[in-house]
Amino acid sequence: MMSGRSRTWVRAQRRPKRALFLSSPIGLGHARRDVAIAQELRTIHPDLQIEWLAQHPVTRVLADAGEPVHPASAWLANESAHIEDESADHDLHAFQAIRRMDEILVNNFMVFNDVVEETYYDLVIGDEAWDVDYFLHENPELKRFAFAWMTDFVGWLPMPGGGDAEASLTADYNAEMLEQRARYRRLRDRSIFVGNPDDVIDASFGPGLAGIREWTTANYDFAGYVTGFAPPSAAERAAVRARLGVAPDDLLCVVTVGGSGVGEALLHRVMEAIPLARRLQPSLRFLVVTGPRIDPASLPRRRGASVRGFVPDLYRTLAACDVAVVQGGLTTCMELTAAQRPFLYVPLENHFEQNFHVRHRLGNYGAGRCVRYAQASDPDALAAALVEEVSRTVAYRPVETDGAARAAAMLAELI
Amino acid sequence: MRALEPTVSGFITRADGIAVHYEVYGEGAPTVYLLMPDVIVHSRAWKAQIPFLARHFRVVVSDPPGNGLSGIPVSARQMDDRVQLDGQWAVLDAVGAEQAVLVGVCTGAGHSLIMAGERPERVLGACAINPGLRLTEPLPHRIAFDFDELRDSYEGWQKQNRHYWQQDWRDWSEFFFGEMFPEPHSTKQVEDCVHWSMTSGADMLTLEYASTYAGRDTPASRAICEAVRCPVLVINGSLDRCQNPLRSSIVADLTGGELVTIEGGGHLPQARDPVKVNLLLRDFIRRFAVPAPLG
Repeated sequence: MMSGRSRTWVRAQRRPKRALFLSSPIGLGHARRDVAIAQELRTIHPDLQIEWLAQHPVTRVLADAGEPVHPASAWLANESAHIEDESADHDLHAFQAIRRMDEILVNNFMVFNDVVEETYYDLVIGDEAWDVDYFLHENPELKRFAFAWMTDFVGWLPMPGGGDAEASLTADYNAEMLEQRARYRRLRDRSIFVGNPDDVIDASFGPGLAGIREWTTANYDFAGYVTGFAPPSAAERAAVRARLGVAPDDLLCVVTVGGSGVGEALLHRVMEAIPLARRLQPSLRFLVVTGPRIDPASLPRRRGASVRGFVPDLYRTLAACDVAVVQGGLTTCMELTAAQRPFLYVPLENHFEQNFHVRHRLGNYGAGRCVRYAQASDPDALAAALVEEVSRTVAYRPVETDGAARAAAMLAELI
Repeated sequence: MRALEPTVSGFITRADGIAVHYEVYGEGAPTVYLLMPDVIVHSRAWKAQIPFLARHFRVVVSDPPGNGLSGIPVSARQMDDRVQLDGQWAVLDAVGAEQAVLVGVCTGAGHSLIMAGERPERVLGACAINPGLRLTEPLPHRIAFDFDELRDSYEGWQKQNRHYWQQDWRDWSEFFFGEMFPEPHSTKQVEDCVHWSMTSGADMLTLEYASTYAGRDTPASRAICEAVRCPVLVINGSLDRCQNPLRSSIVADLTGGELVTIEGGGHLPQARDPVKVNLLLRDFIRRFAVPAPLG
């Protein structure tokens, strides 16, 4: 037997084509689109092996999709747990929460670095893998693969409550990113924006810095939005409603707060409004989806409401609703937009992405009605808003359906 | 949220009754002791190293007297290097580490070298980051102003003053750590250190200032280095504003150690360049890993 350490070096032409996919693990927003992109990428490169360095709840989606998760994933520190820890009521100061995630980001980068040290990858795809993008720019000699960066927003933005101090911090973070990009162009082989140029907010990175839209347009490729699915047909919609036991005359309201454990407070607010809403509109039936990280048993029971935990392919259920109440996360809101369903969305207070970037994009599609949490906390007001929206005829700008294929084509060139 | 929780945490009690808080992470070998990073901050200053190193080795950290969860001294004698060193040996005893690799920054880096010299059979290797031993004159700004002088106002390094510390500790701390991180975009690292410094405060640092340093002069500091027999890694930030950067190269010369200079780096590279420092530490410590038994 061998003693001590042994290593193998594989000659270059014998190495299989491999990609490592990192999907942002805060919530579930990125998991579905990344699986769709990976599937499209395999149709272009059938001999490509794709592995995932991923953590819960992304692993939940990957397991359903039969995608291989790298065993080193077990060493990752959980970002969703950190974000949940940082939130209180319906409030998440996203920028500060990510700043305070610094030690988790170092840990997770070190796990990543160990993985790419031990295995040859032709391509690393980082969908908002902040740790990898940041620390590669700080340690450029560690890059040994093509690197594709993906995101659906660009620019840290201060919340008004943070005053000058926060504005100066977000500007400093933006400036550091701009300096990294200017100095190390080679670090990213592709910067892919999941969306269109007009989805980029028309704001400034900070005093004396470039405009966010102007810079992003010049420095990114645009894939269009990636839903990760074909919009369900009328027949599929009817089938989902039948499976849920929704009678033809019933009105179905789906309530969800996405894939992290943040948002439990909003679920409680909706539960309080359900009896009032049903008094105004007795045909309303509610399906409350708590997601993979909130225990359904933690919610009270309500007549006319059923509560479920993780629902695979939630987009099908969302497409079957007559109205929805959701948080301000991009993916859920865009799934409802793509399905042309009326919905109320309640951004997390102090969450710059939900309050600025997502809201701006939904405005482009003419989709959704934004409700502040204070209003959602008034059961009468929430019930009234919900009943107003139910079955409203909507005509949103159609959401593109080729985003995954376009993103995959951009990635395929790197292999 | 922490990236990793300790597997064990506890206290030892020093001969003078001061409790020293320690934590153990991971179960590998060898044991790596990240020594108290200085009185002004505490063991969280190693937060970027602990989870990574703990995947490969067993990691021990402890808080200095007067900060973190350790006890609070009332006299300068309780801040003396000698009693701090005895406390750190007691931590190693408590965690059952007959041998360890020692890693320190600033004063703690001096501790790693002193410990390596006084118990060579227990120290496998020592890593000294910006070592705080008086091998050269201090940097001019550190001795330009009288620590004891009462002034009408305090600007820049004049804030290194016992009266000003009592008057506005936070402002001193913000100034000091601003100097410790000359690297652009270090807002989070400065905030962290200022936060940790608020639990030591003016009283503890005044005691520490009046304590007896083992490396109090050049001969004593040289003797500390010359006594070291184990492999040594010195990491130096070329823009260190705390310790004269020349001290690092002298430590490397006197110990026969390896010197890694971080050009453009400051006093606390483990916080500002954690990936580079982590990889340097891993490669240094790995050489002491126990080989697998013959199969």
